[in-house]
Amino acid sequence: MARYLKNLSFLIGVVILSIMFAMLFISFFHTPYDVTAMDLAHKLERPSGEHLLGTDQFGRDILSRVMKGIEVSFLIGLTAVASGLLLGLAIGSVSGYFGGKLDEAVMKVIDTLMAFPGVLLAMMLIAVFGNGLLNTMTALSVMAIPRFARIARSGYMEYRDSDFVKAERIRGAGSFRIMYLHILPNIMSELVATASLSFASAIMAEAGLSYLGLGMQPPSPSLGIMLSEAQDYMLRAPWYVLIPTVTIALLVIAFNLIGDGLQEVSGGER
Amino acid sequence: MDSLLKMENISKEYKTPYGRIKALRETSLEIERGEILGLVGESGSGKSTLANIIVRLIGSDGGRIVFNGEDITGLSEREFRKYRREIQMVFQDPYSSINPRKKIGYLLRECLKIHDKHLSEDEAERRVAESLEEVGLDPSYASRYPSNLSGGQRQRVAIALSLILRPRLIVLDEPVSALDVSVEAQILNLLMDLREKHGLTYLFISHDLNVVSYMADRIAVMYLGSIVEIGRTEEILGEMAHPYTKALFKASRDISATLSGEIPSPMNPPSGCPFNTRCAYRSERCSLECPELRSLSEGHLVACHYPLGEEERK
Amino acid sequence: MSLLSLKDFSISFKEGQRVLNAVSDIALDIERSEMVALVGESGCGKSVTALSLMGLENERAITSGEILFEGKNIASLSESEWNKIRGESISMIFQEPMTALNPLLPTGSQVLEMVLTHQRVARTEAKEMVLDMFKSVGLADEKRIYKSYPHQLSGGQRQRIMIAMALINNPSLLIADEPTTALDVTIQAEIIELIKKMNEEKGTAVLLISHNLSLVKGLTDRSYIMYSGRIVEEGRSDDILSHPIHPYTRGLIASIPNVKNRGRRLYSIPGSVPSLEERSEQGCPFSPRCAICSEHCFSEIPEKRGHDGHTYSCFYSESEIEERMNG
Repeated sequence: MARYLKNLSFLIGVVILSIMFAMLFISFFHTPYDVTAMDLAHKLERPSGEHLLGTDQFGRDILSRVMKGIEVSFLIGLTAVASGLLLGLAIGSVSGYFGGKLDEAVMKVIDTLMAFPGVLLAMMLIAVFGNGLLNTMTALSVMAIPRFARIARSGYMEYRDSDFVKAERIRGAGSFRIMYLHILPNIMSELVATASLSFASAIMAEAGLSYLGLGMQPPSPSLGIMLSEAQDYMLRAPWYVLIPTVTIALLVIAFNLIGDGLQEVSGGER
Repeated sequence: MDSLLKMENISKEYKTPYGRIKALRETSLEIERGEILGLVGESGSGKSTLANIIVRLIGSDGGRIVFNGEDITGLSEREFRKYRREIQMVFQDPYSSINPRKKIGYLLRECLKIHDKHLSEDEAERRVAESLEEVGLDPSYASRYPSNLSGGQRQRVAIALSLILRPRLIVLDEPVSALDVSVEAQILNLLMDLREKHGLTYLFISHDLNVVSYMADRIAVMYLGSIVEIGRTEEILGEMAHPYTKALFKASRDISATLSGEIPSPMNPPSGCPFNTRCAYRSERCSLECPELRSLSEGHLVACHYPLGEEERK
Repeated sequence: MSLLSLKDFSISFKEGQRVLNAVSDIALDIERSEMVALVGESGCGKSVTALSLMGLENERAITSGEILFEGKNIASLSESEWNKIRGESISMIFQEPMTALNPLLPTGSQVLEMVLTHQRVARTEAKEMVLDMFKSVGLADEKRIYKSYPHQLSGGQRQRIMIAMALINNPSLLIADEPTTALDVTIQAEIIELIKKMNEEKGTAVLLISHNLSLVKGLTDRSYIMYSGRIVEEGRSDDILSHPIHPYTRGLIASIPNVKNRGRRLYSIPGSVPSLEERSEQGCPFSPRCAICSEHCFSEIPEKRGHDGHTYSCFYSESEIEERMNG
């Protein structure tokens, strides 16, 4: 761990993320105001002692909405990454370890999925199944699978012919044991780095979809929705646009920095 | 002769994008119980393929394999399971043959658990400690990661990993080539002690003929997928009959060039005797007819039409 | 004047607060046309020494002392000055020729490049030189090989290409770092004969870096035995290998398995070569593994002693070592 903290990009990423995490954690118990409570008497106010980040066009507290927005981002990022990781690993490990015809077929599908821009894919899925939190999550999860499947596959291909895997086979270890007890720990650092990068893209994609009106629906406090609503007031209340933008940017940058840092440090190990 | 492993007419072909490679050509080999059989040959001679077939990392295309009196030729992976613990292998590079992400103790315990699901924790712990002590390592090494160990210590761990299952046969694939000279002697002594103690049988593969001459009871020489000479070490060294064996040992002893050209590509082997393109004693017959492995004296076999020193033998 | 001489040469690395000494105060001389071996196990400092003779040491390395090449100190040259020396006056061949060749270029043009960088000759003339060189390093089918890519050649052929590339500019010193370790015995023998031939014909001095004692004995005139960053014994190769004095050299030679010690336990030096971090800076570097050491071996570094060009660093004299080892 100490080695990771010496890596500057990892360290910066962790610091930003910790702040975001703290806001997320507090939002579970307390937000300064109710996120959907309108107060038309105080709409589009500048940041002040009362509303630290000002209010929006309905007089809702922006800080509170950002805090909840981060929660939505994390929720979607987490599900997308977790399901992408699990399914991608399952597909990639089998495909990479056993190879052959199965691998060829699986990789054709994965390549096809990858050829689509992720957001386009998500839009297609949402067009079919309708929008809402669950469908957004499903769409983004599907979007995350190919990346993990590719990383896992190349890792398994690299290790399936390694001496220690051969040695395990000779000792009588079955394929399942070799794949998940012996090879997985060796490719874990790459998967974690990918998870971090995927987290960033899931957050981006969610914001993008919600901005387009395809993801979460108002009045849910998604950062993407806030951004789309705020753009009408760009000149009157520039801070209103700036706040969700900066938040999204910070989240994405934090995860990218952590992902890069992890790759740098574990890459240097080899 | 009490044979532990008997391989008859084993052949193996690899398909590559450039063509077929005949890695083994109807090779037969017998390993006696309790012996150290040295296997030598240049790279591409098929010795690694043979080793991989013995430990069943790959299957053979044809032939018969009998282990400990039982025919194990066409067994499925599941049926072969119970023989796994009996045939083990130690690899050349102790850095790549041990999972770097697992503690030594974990790897050793795993080995035991695969073959005995009902083993108690205490018993497993005891056997892990015992096997580490057996290879000259302190039992506290169980809680270490491989990265904290030196090359020699890692090779000891690799030996412990193959030994903990109480095998009958261990294939040693260049077990000391990656080690320092001063550590090499330690590992060779250890291997000798363990054989004594457990009555093990070794197939000792090496390109270092000094090491093979020191270790092996019998030596088999491979060339282009066939065994060209096999016999007791004293016999091979004293009355080597195949021109290739002679060239090989002379090259290692005097470090003087003895063979012209390189080993032919196994994709395009010469007709007749596989060695005829590089042989100093070749005659017309050699490029037409492939010599069979035949007996020169008790247990000394050679595949050559005109074995060296045949006149004196008569 | 020696062709190359190292004087009080040290290499160290800074690791956090600690300074780790990879090579400590070594002295080494190579005469013109001489074949010299630097012998040691992995981690003894022989390869870092070789690399610094080419100005290729790790950028974190701190060197001190002198490297006199043809009387001129080359320890502190600039990169462009090094480029002049490298490949022209000193060249090097490596253990794994595949990694030292560019996989994307035909071998011929890689060697051609070496000529054109260092010599003022026309392209056609340079190509002739390369083909001649290929022929003299035993690459029979030189025209085909000139156009071949490294992966189309065997290990032995690649090593010959490396030697051709190293010798094409007639350097006065060739450094061969484990040149045959990755090769089969029969090919190994051919490469060694080639190096020998090149030394005789062109008078190229050779510094052989190896752990293989029989190779050293067969090829070189003089040897330096290195342990833990220090030279512990030096002298004529056949002399050292048949009458080693230093306990380390003795142990090393006694532990080589061969048919003569069949059935007997091999002598083995206890313990293993200490890593850079584990090295103790006090006392004789070999003392932790030495069978005959006494207390002051752990606190002081022994001086060089011996005669007739056969010297060793030990507190005990030859007869004392003999006595203690047998007793």
